[in-house]
Amino acid sequence: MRNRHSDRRCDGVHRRELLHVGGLSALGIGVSDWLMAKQAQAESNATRHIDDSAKAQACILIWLDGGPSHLDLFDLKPDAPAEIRGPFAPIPTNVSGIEVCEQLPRTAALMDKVALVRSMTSPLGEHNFASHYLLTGYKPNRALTYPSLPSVQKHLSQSQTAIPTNIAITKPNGMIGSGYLPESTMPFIVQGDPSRPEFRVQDLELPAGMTPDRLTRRREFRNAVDELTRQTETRLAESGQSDSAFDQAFRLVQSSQARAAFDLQQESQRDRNRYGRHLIGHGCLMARRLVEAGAKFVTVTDRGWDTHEDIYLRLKEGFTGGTAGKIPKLDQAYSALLSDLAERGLLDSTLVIVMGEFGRTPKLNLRGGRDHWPGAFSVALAGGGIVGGQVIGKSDAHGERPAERPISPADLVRTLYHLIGIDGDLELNTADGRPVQVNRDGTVIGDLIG
Amino acid sequence: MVFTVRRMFWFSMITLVVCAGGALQEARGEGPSDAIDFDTQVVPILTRYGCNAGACHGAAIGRGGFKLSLFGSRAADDQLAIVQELEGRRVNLYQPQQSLLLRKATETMEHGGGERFDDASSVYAMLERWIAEGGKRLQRRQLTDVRVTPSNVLLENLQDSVAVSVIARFDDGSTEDVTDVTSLTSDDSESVSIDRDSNRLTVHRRGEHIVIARYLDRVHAIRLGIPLGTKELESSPDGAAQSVVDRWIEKKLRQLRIPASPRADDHEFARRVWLDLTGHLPSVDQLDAFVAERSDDKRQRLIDRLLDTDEFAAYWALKWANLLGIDSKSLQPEGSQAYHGWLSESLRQDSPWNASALAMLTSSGDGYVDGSVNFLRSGSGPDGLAELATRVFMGVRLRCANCHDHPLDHWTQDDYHGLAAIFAKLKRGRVVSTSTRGEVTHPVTGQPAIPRIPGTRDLSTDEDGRMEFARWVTAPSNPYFARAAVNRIWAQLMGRGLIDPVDDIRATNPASHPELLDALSGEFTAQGSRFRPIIRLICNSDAYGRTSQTRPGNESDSVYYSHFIPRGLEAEVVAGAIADVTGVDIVYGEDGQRDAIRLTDNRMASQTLDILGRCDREAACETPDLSAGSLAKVLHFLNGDLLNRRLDDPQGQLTKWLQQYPDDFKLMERLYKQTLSRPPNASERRYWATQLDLATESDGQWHDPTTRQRFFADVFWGLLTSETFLTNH
Repeated sequence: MRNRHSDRRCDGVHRRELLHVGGLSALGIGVSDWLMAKQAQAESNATRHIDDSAKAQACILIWLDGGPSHLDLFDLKPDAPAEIRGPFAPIPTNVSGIEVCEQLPRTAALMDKVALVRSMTSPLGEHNFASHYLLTGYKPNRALTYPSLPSVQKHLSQSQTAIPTNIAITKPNGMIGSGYLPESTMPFIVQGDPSRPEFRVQDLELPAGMTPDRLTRRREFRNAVDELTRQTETRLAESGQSDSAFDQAFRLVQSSQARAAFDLQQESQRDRNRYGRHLIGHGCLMARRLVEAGAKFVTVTDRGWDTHEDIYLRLKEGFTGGTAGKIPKLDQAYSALLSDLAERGLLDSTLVIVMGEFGRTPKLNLRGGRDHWPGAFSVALAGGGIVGGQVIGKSDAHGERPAERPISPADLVRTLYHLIGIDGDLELNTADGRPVQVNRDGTVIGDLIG
Repeated sequence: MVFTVRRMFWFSMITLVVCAGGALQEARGEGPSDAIDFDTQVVPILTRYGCNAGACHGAAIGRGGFKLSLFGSRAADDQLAIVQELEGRRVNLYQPQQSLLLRKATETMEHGGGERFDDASSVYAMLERWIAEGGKRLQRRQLTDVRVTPSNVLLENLQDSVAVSVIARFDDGSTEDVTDVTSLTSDDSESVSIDRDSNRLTVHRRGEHIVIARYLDRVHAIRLGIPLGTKELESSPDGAAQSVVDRWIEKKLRQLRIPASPRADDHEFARRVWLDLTGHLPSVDQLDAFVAERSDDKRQRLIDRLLDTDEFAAYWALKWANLLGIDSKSLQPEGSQAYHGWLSESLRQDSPWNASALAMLTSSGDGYVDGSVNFLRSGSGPDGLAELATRVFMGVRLRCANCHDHPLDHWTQDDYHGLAAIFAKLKRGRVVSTSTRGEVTHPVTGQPAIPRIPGTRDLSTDEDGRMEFARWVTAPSNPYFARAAVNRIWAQLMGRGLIDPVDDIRATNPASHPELLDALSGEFTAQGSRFRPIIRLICNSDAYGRTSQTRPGNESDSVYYSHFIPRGLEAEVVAGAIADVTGVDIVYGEDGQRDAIRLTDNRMASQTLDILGRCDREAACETPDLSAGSLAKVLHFLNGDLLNRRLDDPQGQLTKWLQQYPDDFKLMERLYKQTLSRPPNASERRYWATQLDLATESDGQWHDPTTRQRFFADVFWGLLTSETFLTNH
């Protein structure tokens, strides 16, 4: 009865349910503080804090939603008993001493560009909580919802380019949210599967007869309706300077160059095949185009990694007798992205992250799957100032816990902030004037960045 | 050494007694001569110091080879694990200080979890004594009651603090101050800090905050508040006439000194209640008639009238379809249609929810014929059904208990797999029937799970599990059923559940207004478990009738209902509103359906509904999304057909109005009433006068009809894409 090939995660919860946890103490502010708080948020908005000389000018996150198995991707345990080591064998890479899954041959050939962290560890084994931790650097808290890294970057970024700053290809994990920051820092979501022949980002061209003047007038009228309706009403989420989805869309449709970045038809068949004709492949291809066009953070979401059953089938074959499971597709897309970025001279300035919310249980379960396991898991980082060809940390013999150098999601996220030029100690203000550090509990992983 | 330990032990007892104040007498109820009781004295220590938490030894597979039950739910196993496993090395009965248990916890030996307490602490002394007494499980007494004080306290100033006292009562008549071994967790450590030496809670931010106290299996929420305002509010003038809703809402507002926004005007109220109860905007005629009516009870009568409409049943059936996750992919369009039909009929008749639940859980038969059967056809497998049933009827997230006992609640793996075992005895095709076979494997035992009513009792093999579960869950004494129902209704109408999220009811997620939730639940049961009386009660309250405009002092409130909380609308409602006000239908499917709210096949192809963000039913949608816009939605508004074609349609409303209203201001007013259900206000009139001046010739005339058409098409577009139009407020 189980839906074996579902991309759903086991909990089936809508991500916004967790976003709603912002709870009883959301009101932590006195009446008299109100105006000062608003002022403070406006000021913190006015002074931007991104170091322009940072190595990583852009970031591509390949999010493996559901929790990828560390033991079947980047941290194999060939010496462990069969019920732990699982169905795959390791293969050597182009860096001696580093091995990865046999299903990742193309990635193995690029290992000199990739740094693996094998000692990630977190106490949170529920999808939403764990995703929140990985994407924001904070454990979820009933009282305050934290913004994800791309929203913080958008918030602090001054550029108002025709290409949106923060883009998600396919609907992202619900924890990629704006938290206490304005909703306008949310990603621009490209819906649908870009590898489908009929796919295109719809409605990019202005309708016949629509002049730029009328477009401008429509924009003004729309803003007037809302602003005049509100008068005294203050929208918390939209306080301060905001660059709404509408504003971003208006800029986008008026720039043919920016619109073209979404058009995969402009890629050669060779390149489209190189990335692979599947969601993650074409998602990565589009991500590269968007970064080239000036996007700062592109999230490519690949679902279906919540492999509670039939791990071999789902990771290797996809369906019985198939050759297109989760790992071969990832291998193709990821290796194409890294080598393409390198060929174009963009890898040094583009940070590429591969991760999901946690790892999987060392012991295979009765259904041939692995359940949630946050105790030890791996992430892969490349480009944008990362020193490749190395492994940071180590998990124990069965991949249960870090054996050396435990690294928390807070540490990882702080390192990512550092690479994109944001100081983790920087304080942001919530709408009600509460100062919150960009990152509170993390330490930069020095070896990763040389 | 021993002397020091003893002295420290007594010292901390004295400190504790001082803090506990009035608890002095009771705290002495425990005679020092009694031997340490594992279940009620040792287990709480393991919980208090995090040893049996899910992140440590309470994990499903333990940690470092040492496994404890999560939060000490199975004391017998824990005592065995400590005393007998590892060849008994965890305790040393002759030299208790040499016990691994104590050496690890004090980190005199390497311990992954670090130092939990030191050897001078009272808990160390307690554990040492327990080991010295033989490490036995005496089962001397059972917990009967826990009293946590304070449970609800309002402080005046920032940094004010309050001492916590936790007194446990046992079945042997003894009482004990267990504050030191009660785990205290602040929801937000930056708002409330906890000093464990003095057991004082200090509040650092204004507003209301929660600290969760856990002793054994009992969980209590301690509420601490500091008013937002510094001045007392004037009390409500018509205090006596308040409904039960307003009594509790206003009490909290007064406590926290949050001023309430005034009553919404008739236009705002009409739009809100029409949208909430029918999913449609009021027509301009309906709106004008309501506003013109002069009677004190006209809002009440409008609510009654709308509740009796067919639109009400259709719209609330859509809401329930979204939260039940009715999906024609798994039920087929025929099953989906039958399910929808049954739901709207139940809503039309206001059938008792307990009877509906009973039908949904116990029906058998053809899902294409009997709508209620489709509940059991939903959900993937017995596990999925167990999760669905507990979520829908109890507002509980049982799924955590699949792989381990629920870390934040009392649900166990036995509960989860026991309930799944009940649903495993079903043949589920198009026809649902009961089978004598079918079981699920309990992941811990590897054996078939024993059918079980969650949190209550195992079933014997000859009991009808579905019926037993259905009776238990719908019984008036069930603590979840009515609360889950009224909390969902409240969230639909008020924008946020009293318990939020609405499907996460548990002691560690307390309600914002617990007394109100109790009162509504009681009323629901008293009214025969019907929805309409509760909807009526809420819609008639002052809290529902307030404007969404904030006033100084309540801008930051999104929890206490000092002003109405704006919220999103279902894609089907927005699509319907666009079609209605532009006068150009949106047609669905081959047989030309036009009312999106009444579509029963959620998979029916519709780019419009996809772009507007209909619930995909892959997961349930408890409330509509308020996200302003995906790229696709915004671009479609800008460039797509949905609006552009409708504004220019020769048969559309705009074309007609351009003829009908030669006066530009009259036309403007019509557009406002049609979309925002109100005429433009003074500042809007001024704004549009300026815009009209700019768009017309110097003599105030239009250059040509096309110029005028384009101008008003742009105004209409601005109205239709505004947040004001796209939300209920």
